[in-house]
Parts: sequence; structure tokens; C-alpha cells
Amino acid sequence: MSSVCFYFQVHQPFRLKPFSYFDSSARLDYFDDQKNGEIARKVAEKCYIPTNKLMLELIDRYEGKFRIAYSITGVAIEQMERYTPEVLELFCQLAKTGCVEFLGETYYHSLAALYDPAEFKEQVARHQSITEALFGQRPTVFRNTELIFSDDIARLVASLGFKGVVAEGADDILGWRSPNFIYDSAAAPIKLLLKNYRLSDDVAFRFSNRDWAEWPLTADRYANWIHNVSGNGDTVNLFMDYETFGEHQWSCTGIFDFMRALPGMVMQHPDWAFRTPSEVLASHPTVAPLSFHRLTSWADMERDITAWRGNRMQEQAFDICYDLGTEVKWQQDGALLDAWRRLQTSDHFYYMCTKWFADGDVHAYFSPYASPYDGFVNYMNVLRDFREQVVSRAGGRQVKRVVAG
Amino acid sequence: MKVLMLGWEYPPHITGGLGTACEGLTMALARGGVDISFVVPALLGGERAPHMTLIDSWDEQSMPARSGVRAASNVSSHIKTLFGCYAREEEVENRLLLGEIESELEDEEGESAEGAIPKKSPKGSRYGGNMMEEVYGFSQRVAQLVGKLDFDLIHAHDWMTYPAGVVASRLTGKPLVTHVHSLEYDRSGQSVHPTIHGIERLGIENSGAVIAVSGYTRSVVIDQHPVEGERVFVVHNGVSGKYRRSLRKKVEKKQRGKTVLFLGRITFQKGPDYLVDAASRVVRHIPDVKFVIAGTGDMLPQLVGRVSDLGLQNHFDFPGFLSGPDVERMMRQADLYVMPSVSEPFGISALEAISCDTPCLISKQSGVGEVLRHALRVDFWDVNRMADLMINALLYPSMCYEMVRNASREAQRLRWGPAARRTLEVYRSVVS
Repeated sequence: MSSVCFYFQVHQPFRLKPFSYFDSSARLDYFDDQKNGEIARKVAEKCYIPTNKLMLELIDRYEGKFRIAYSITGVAIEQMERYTPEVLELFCQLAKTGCVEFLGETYYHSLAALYDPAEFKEQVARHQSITEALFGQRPTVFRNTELIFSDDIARLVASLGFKGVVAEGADDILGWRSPNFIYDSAAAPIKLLLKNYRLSDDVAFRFSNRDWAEWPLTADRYANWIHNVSGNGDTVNLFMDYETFGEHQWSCTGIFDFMRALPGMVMQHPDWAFRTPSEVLASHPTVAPLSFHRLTSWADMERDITAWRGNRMQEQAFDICYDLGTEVKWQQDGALLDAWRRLQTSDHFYYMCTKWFADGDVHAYFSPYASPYDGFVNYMNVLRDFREQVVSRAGGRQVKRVVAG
Repeated sequence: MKVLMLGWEYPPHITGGLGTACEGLTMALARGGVDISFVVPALLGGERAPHMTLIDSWDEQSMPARSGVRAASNVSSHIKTLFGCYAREEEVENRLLLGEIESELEDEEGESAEGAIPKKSPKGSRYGGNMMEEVYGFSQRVAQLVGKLDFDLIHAHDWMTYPAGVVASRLTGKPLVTHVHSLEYDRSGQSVHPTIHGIERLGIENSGAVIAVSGYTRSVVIDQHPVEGERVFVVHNGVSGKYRRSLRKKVEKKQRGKTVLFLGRITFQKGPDYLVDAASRVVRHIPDVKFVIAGTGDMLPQLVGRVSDLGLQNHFDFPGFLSGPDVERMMRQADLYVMPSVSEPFGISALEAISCDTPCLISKQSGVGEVLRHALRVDFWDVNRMADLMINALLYPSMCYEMVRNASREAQRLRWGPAARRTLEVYRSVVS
């Protein structure tokens, strides 16, 4: 009996307002509520609402045999509460079906694992609490921001009590091995579920590409590819951004019809079943230890973290941001803490990435800024003012600094 | 492919970007096998162009006549008629009006942007005092020359050579390509000078193809003159590799603190006044910043006055017109190069700054922004944003480092080779 394991990522950052060097906000009013609201409503209409309804329909039709997982960031949940409560209501309905698992991650979709382990733990704990409160589940399987993972992160996550973690099935990590088995982390007592990137990206990226040899992809052909893993794997892990459905792949591409037809096609083969990550971990043995000797992610060909930390601007922005942690936590000011944490969201740093901003490059470039330099300037203007607010609230007392190292 | 090229200046006797662009383009075309005869109004000594035949327009007497070519008789009246069609007859004859043009250009004192002419040359010999007379005289001399040269087409650089180009084309029946490095619209905004504007139109209307140095300039050409879009091609300027060779030279900075550099004509088109207004906001936050305004021009006295009124004298240096190695040294010393142009057809100097490892802040109204993506960009009139970006560039060397690193790679691709290949495509389209 082999498994098909779907996990969908749901995230929206609190995007920044245009903020000049000459602007200042004692109320920490850095976030563009109007724009964030507009985007929330647009994504709800194109993706979250129709896809949630489709999933509910499929769960109902297959009477519990269609099973999936989500990880929803805390900042996405907050924005749903504020702008699109109907979306949150649909997620709650999905939770109630008993066929949906919710994974754990950092509340603020941050890279805190790389900078401030204590902060990381607090963000994860907060995320576990809200997931339990809303969906009635306390996560036991973890995913780190953008699937950023390494042996060090394995140790960190294991120390928080998680039994499994999802990660990218990067070629150089796997070597000759296949992502279609469960592995033990070589670094910590935790199990690894690895993304089958070929099959995942076929849907998430290639689905509507007319230059792709397999276009147009039909549900029966895709189910066939899954079935071909029989005898060569225990699980096919299909991990992708939830916005694949309706946003990255528009409705007119047929993505919804594809997804509607897929479960039936997969289950035509009696050896295949849909399982949630926890169920996969319970159903199959681990086959070998696996070491993640370098930082990996699910981004780009390199599957590394250079999209967020690949140039000096990003490095400097991270350093200054995390340097403020000790003082911010010392002040025990909720508003300050919340603003600081929203500033840790990975998207801000992603917008400073220079990798794809090249002449002649046709790589898709998702950023509200005209250039990575505009992205950096806007973030640093905000960070500079935030730092001044932090210092002024210290009221003349010597500001606490993080000890280096 | 044999080309008769008409230019107005050639290195080292340059006053702006035009001569540099001609040098770069012709060298790359020659490498591609193109045979070029390049005629300038006068050779002033020191010009080196082994890749082509550089001709002084006054030297036609020394050249042998080719047999079988139609004699260039009645050239004078022919040219006058042409001028008459595109400018009021009396304007050409009217010395008072020509005198007016002369005094407009008088302040430039030889330092100029792409498009204006050197009023005085070092040898002071053959460039006379009167612009229109020079343009007219050049077209007469070129008319005499064409009978002695063999070429497939004529390539005329900027409005001063268009009359000569049109005449040459009419006499020989060979197609004309006009190359727009600048427009009267850029120089003067809405108050274009009718004669110069008329001469631009003369050239563009009589061309088999028009080359614009940027998409921006192309759109202005199509907007300002009656020409179909299919006949107007974009060939972005390149940057020569010469700065890179001396890249590793260490430059000692004369002062501590940060330097912001403006290098160009001090005139309306280049927007230096917006830079001064932005600077007044910058100095409040970066106390040790120095603004270097290198150049001369009609706006200079006004600019110095404004700097004084704002109390910024201690933050500004006005070293005058720079050329040769001084340009490179100044560019290397700077922490940021600013090009706040109101309307810039291309802006090679930004690429030169990148070649000197200096990051750029350029106006969105500059053609070079189409090919240089790794730079800070601002609307020329947005003084607050200009100041915001300048302050951030001066505060964060990490950003400057990334801009230079990435822009250098862009500049590598912006050599004259691709421009020459594209130009050759344009040639083939008019010759066939």
C-alpha cells in the first residue's frame, strides 16, 4: 500500500507601506493595511474560496479517503480574520472533516531558525497554540519557512517535540536515493518526509506551460506517473503553494478540473491511498538515515537559501533586524514585539533578491517593488525608524544588545 | 558593405558623448568588416582612427575625382532650397536670427552634451563662430566630396549632419540613415527652436531608416516627427572597455566622508537644479557629504547662486569641465554618480561610472535605464525621493556593492559589438 501525501502552504505577509527616510511612525504604522486587504480579498476570490470548496467536495465525495494537509502561517490567519473571515470559516470546516492535518511552522514565516533559536521556539509555540485553538489539532509534523532545512534545524525542531519534518528532496542531499521513502534524520530523532520535486513542480509550475512536452497535463496521465512509483517507493510527497490553484495557475488553465478528477484516478489503483503526513509516518518504515549537511530550501534550481540570504543587502538587513531582538523582548511591549516579528517575515528579504533581476532574464519576478534596491531601501527606512522607536522607548537606559556569536 | 558616415566631432576633440559614441560604433562596425569613410567638418590634429578612413571635409581638393559620377553642380542653390523647405527662407538668410542662435549657444564655451557643437576648438581654425553657417558649409563641402567616394549608404549622426546627409543622398541616389543621439526636444522641452527642429525633420523624412539611441528617444522621434514606427530602430549605445583595463588602480580619496558626483553640461536638460534641491535635504542627515558638480554650462551661475542661497557652499565643489583621465579619476573617487536628467536620450556616462565601480542614481527619463537595470531610479522632479535614495546609498555600502557587482555584468554585455550588429541589420534593410 503506497501513499500520496498532499501538503499545501498558505501564507500572506504583512506588506510594508511605501516609507521614506523622512517618514516616522511612533505608532509603528509600517504596514499597508489597504493593500494587504485588497490582496487578501483577491487571493480569496481566485484561490482560497474555490479551492477550499473543491477540497470539501472531494473529501465528501470520497467519504474520507481523500486526505490532505495544510500549513497556514499565523500572519495569514490574522489577515483572514481581519479581511476574509469566510476563508477561515472554510478552513475550520475542512478541519472538522477529520481528513485534514495541520502542520507546524513559525507564526511569522521567518528565518529565526538561523538567527535566534529562542525566538524560533516562541514563534513555533505561538503557531501551535493558534492552530490548536482554531482547528482543534496540535501539530506534530513540522515545516520550516520555505522548507529551509539542515541538520542543525533538524536538531532544533526535534528538541521541540515534533516527530516529523517535511523537507525538499534535493538531488545532492539524496544522492542515489529516492524521495519516495521515509528517512530518519542523521542528526536528530526525527523523521523526514521529502518532497518529490518533479511531480510537485509538474503541477505547481509546469501545468500551464504550453512549451512543456507534457502539456496539457491530464489527471489520468498524472495518476499514471504516480502509479509508476509502485515497487520503487512508499510515498509520493506532493508539496506546493496553495496559490497554485487559481493564482499561479489560473482557473482557465483547467487546474481545478484537473484536481477534481485526480483523486478518482489515483484511487483506481487499489494499492494507492491518500494519507496525511502523520499517517504516512505511521504507515511506512524509515529506510535509512539522511544528513542535510547544507542549508536547503524548495526554491530555484539550487534548492538553497540564496533567494533570502544571497547578497550583502539581505545579510545586513537580517543582522540589523535580529540585533534588535534582545532589547525588544526586554521592553515587553506587545506592539513593539509584534512589529518586530512582522518585520522578520521572509518576504521582505525575498524582495531584495538580485538573482533574477537581470537583463534579458525571463524568470518570473514576484515583487511589489520595481527593483531589489527599492525593496531594500523601503525595508531599511522602516527598520531605521523602528529602531529609533525602540531606542526612544528605552527612555535613556542603555539599550540591550545581542551578544555576538 | 561600404558606408559614408557624417559626424561632427571625433576623439580626442570631443565636447560630449557624440564623438565617443561614433568612435565606439565605427570600431565595432569595422571589426565586422564594414568599410567606413567618416567625414567631419574639420580634423584638429591628434585623431587616431586606423579602423576607417577619417576625412576632413575641407580636403576634397586633394582627392581625385571618380569617373562616371554625376557632377555636383548647382549644389548651392540645391541646398538653399532644401533649407528653404524646412525652415523659413528668410531665417536662413536672416543674420539677425542666426545671431540669436549664436548667443543662445555662446554660454556653452565648448563643453556640451550630445548634440551641441564645439564653438571654439583648441586650434581655433576651422570651426567658425556661426552654427547655421557651419552646418550649411559642411553640407556644401560634403556635396563636393561624394563624387570621389564609393559607398552603399550614408549614415548621418545628429542634426548638424542631416543637411549634408540629405544632399549626399539626393546626389548619389544612395539611401540615408539618420542617427538620433539627441533631439531639440530634449534640449529645450516645449520651446523647440524651429530651424533646428526643422532640420531634424528634414533628415528624418529623407531617411530610409532612423536609428534612435534608446526606446525613449524612439518614442519622442515618432511623437515629434511624421515617421512610421517601422522605420525607426533602437540601437542602444555601448560603453568601451577602456576603463576596465585600469580597473585595479587604487585611487586615494582626498577627503573623508562621502562624495556624490554629477558630471555633464550644467543646463536645463541635465536637471542639476533638482540635484541641488535634493542635496539640501541630504546634508541634514549626512553631515560630511560632498557634492561635486563637474561641468560648465548656461545654468552654472544660477546653480552656484542657489547653492549659496541654501547655505550649502561647504558641501559643493565646482571643478569645471573635465576630460580624459580626470573624468575617470573623479568617477572612481565618487561614492555615487547621479544623473538627474529631465530628458536624456541615452546617458553613456552612467555606464562609464559603472565601469569605474561607482553605483548610479539615474532619472527614469533616461534612455540608459532601458539597459542598465541595476541602478537607483527616480523621476527627475521627485526631489524627496532623490534625497531618500541618495541617503540610503550613502548609508549602506552593501547596496552600492550589489549595484556595482550586478551592473558591471550588465555593462559587459553593453559593448559596441551588439550595437554594431544591430546597425548592420538596419543597413541591410535600407540597401535591399
